[in-house]
Amino acid sequence: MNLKKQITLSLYRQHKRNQAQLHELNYLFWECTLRCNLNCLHCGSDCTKEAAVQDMPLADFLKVLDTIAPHVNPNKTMLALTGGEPLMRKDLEICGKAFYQRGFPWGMVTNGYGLTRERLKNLLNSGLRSITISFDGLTPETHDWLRGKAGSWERAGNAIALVAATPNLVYDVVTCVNKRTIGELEAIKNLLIGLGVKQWRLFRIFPKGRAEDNPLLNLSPEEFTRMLEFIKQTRKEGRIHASFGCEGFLGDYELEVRDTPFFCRAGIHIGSVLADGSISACPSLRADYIQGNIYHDDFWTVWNERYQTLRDRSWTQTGVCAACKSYKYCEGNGLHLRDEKDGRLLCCHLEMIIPIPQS
Amino acid sequence: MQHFLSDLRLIVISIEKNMNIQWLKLFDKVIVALLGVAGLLMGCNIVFETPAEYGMPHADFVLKGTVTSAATSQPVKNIQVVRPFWEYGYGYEGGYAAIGDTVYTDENGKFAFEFDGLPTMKYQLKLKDIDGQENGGQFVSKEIEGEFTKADQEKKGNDRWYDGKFVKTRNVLLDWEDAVVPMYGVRPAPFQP
Ligand code: SF4
Ligand code: SF4
Repeated sequence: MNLKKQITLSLYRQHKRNQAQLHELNYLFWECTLRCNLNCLHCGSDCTKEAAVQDMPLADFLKVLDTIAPHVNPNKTMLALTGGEPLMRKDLEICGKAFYQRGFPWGMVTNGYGLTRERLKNLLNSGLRSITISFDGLTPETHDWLRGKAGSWERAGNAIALVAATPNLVYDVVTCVNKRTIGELEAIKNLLIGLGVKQWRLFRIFPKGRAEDNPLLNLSPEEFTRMLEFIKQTRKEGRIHASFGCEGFLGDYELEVRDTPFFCRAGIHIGSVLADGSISACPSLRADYIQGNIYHDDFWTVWNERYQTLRDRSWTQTGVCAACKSYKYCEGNGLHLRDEKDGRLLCCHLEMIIPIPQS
Repeated sequence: MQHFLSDLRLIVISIEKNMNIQWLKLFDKVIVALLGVAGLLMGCNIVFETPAEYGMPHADFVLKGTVTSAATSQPVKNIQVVRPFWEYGYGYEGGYAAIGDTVYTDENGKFAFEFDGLPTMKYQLKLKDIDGQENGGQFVSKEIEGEFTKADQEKKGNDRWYDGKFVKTRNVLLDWEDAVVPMYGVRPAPFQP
């Protein structure tokens, strides 16, 4: 790694430490439903059409917002609605209005299946500021296969075109890259550019939940490195702003495939309220990562007094991480890649980066 | 002080749009008086920076630089750079109003201003990322101040009112807005009232 990058990462390391100490909440997930209209192969949550856990009543989540509002700047605290599929909630517009009235910008992650022009208009009128739409393949064959429903590719494409043509809405498209799509990236890129998309986030599917046993979902080290190389080249081209997801320290690819160096902000800037009221950080952090529950804890007290394992990551310096030269920059990878029961490292990105012939 | 001044500037502009001339003139007097005080506090003469005619000392200035990302050391294009100043007779009769010279950094992150004015030697720049993520990330806005010094003088003055030409290079590093985009999350967006 060149010296300039090393200096940047060292400075950034200090910034991360400071931020962990300050732990200013500026991003709050709300898992507003576990219901979903698709059936994704890689889904992290156990979403089904009729989930066992009922949707949380809006009033319960608003109580949380009202307890944090005096302590944060609502205007700068992003609410990210996730699921399940947020559009399954019929009262989404009412929820949005309530957030808007309290001064919170809000956004949602969607598969786009239910996003009609009319619905988008209503959501925008309810203060929707940001939207992320999943798009996982060049053709229905690869997208619908991953998403588990025929017709989902077309609907997602329509939703993307709608969103890309909406002025003043922050958005991006995310693609979960897998063995079937790694060879399609160039063509997907051109398709997205054709739809007017400016921001594109690519991730790898992490080997958890339903993904664990499907060999087609996990990229090999070579494929993974190819994906990073593709992102790097795409950024250089400047036709669409591509970036890799938030996980993983990437060695020489740091600052080449993302806007900021690797920083797992779970519990540092990011909190969450999950469908059953659990208080956590990113929605994929469940089980032992759960810090409390809004039905018997005060969210703001929990945010201030708990989250120790998320803010002090020294416990991750075990196993391969103990001897790793990059530990100081990485601190044991993103927390969702450590087993929620025993803290074991599930995957190291740096290890997956291998020299590949330049194409 | 800077916030106070930029607030004042906004007030002036909005009042300029909404009030009648009489009120504007009265308001302007108050503003000019306040600016005098503000200028004294800041150790510079902000009210009379750019006189309409030269019966006073004046000089030519070039203020240029490169905007670079603090983290990547890459030049940042399309950053809005505003040089605020006050000018006599702008927009309405007989008053002073805050206006700004605005440029945008080019592909190589470069910007430049050329202007003439009183040799008060102080300058202020306001930098803003106006295109979101498109120039390689969302950057935090920055305001900088500085002074031209004798060392920046490229052309000597005469023994009348002209003080010569000053050329200053002021490079600026911009920090990223800490954009949190966790997996399965949305890009943060500002609240819009
Ligand atoms: S071994 Fe651990 S600390 Fe080192 S790069 Fe991999 S995950 Fe990070
Ligand atoms: S826990 Fe994972 S998804 Fe969340 S911020 Fe950390 S790396 Fe990103």
